[in-house]
Amino acid sequence: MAHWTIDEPTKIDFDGVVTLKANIVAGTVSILPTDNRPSLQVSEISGHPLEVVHEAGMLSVNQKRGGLEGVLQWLQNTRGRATVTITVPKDCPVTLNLVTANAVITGLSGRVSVKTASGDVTLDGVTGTIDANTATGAIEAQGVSGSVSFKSVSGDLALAHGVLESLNAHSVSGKITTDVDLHDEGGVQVKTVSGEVTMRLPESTSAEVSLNSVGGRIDSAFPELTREERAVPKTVTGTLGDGSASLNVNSVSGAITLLSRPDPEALKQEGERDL
Amino acid sequence: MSPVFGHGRLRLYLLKLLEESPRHGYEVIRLLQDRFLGVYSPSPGTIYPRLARLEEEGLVTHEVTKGKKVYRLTDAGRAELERRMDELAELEDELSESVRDIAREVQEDVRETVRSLREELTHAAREMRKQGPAGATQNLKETSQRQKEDWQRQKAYWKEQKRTWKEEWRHTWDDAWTTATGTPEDAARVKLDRVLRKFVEDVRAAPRDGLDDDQITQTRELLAETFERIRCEIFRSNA
Repeated sequence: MAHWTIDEPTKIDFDGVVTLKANIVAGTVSILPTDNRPSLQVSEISGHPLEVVHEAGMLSVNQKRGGLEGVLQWLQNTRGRATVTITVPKDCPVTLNLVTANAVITGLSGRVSVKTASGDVTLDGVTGTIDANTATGAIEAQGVSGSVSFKSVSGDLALAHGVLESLNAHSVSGKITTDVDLHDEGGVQVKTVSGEVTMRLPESTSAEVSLNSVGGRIDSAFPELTREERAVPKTVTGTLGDGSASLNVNSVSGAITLLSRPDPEALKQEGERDL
Repeated sequence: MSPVFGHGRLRLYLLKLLEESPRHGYEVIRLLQDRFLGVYSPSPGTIYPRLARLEEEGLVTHEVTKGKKVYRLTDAGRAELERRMDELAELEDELSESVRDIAREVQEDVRETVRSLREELTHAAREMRKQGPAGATQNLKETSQRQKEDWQRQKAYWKEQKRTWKEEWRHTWDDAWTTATGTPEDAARVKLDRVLRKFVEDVRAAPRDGLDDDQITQTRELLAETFERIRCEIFRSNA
């Protein structure tokens, strides 16, 4: 087992990392993929030192805050922060716990599990399962291609460019905004209390759709869906294509908007026609 | 000379890679690609001749294992690396900074994408409520075009950033090499160059709302004045 206590800018290499677990309270943590030796680099650190443990391929990084003493010290030393960059194999699963720290994660295909209080999390090209829990921090992801699970109080979720196998999103007031494709048999289940839900899907999406809101308005760009205004909750339901995927959005007072975008093929043809 | 490593720096890094473990040429290339996260992609035409030259100088030697040349450090090579440990540390710091820069760029890129996505979707939603579903689709076709242009602009911006980094790296390492191996005057000139380069960058980035001929004329006059003052007051030379 190897153990380091880091209180100044340092760089460490490791023989092999098969899982990463990091608890960062304040600062920034970046997790990038590498085919080379996994590494950890601290470029800025103040306040509490970072405890790094590498054992049997499991890498664990902690901004130490042990016990009551630790908590009191944190309350006094609110400016303590660490800027950490960690490179791991592409398929390494990552578990990240943040308080106010922001995180950037790119290019990983293993499971990414993030819990944050107010820190923002940015994911780019993370193609495995994403499990995100936030209180007020924003989760923004580009290029997803797996299952996404999202729980939030008021933090927003944004998914841009990608193909969803499944989305399970629960939020109180956090907004859910997506512009992704839905896998053929994908399942989307979104529940919010007051959070607005705006989703854009390709015109050619095949899905059983059910949009329900008690107090919020529902708008849909798909003519195949029918609106039932007199019922409570208001609903817009129907079948797109051959209904192979499923899309369920439920909100108490949040507005639900379902937009459509032309398929890339159609766009290309239009573009060529214009030439 | 490769665009990223200044003269002499690539050799140093090759020695370091071989110190970690004996390797064949292809491995060396792949490692360089990895460590630069794809920003720098060395070609065999750059690496193999350098390995050959290192071998001529006795710093490196090779064995043929399973039909491939595997290079490793000689004692002389190890000594050379020892001698230049400080330089190597500096080089590695440069590399680390660039990795961090990449992470920051990714974050900004995604944030920007999401921000413009939200704007676009809000706009589309508004259009849809006004004109009905067909209106929104039409609107989307227009905004898709704009989005394509945005993406292209972002790609171009990203490419420009990479190019700027490579330039900066080359400057910084050229400078460091001269400082380490030149005379005191060479080193001082390097510092002067750096001061001037920073000045040029700062001025270039200064115009916020466009640039007109009048501003350029004024700038030219001010620069001429400043040059006179530097020449007479600081360098004490006479026209």
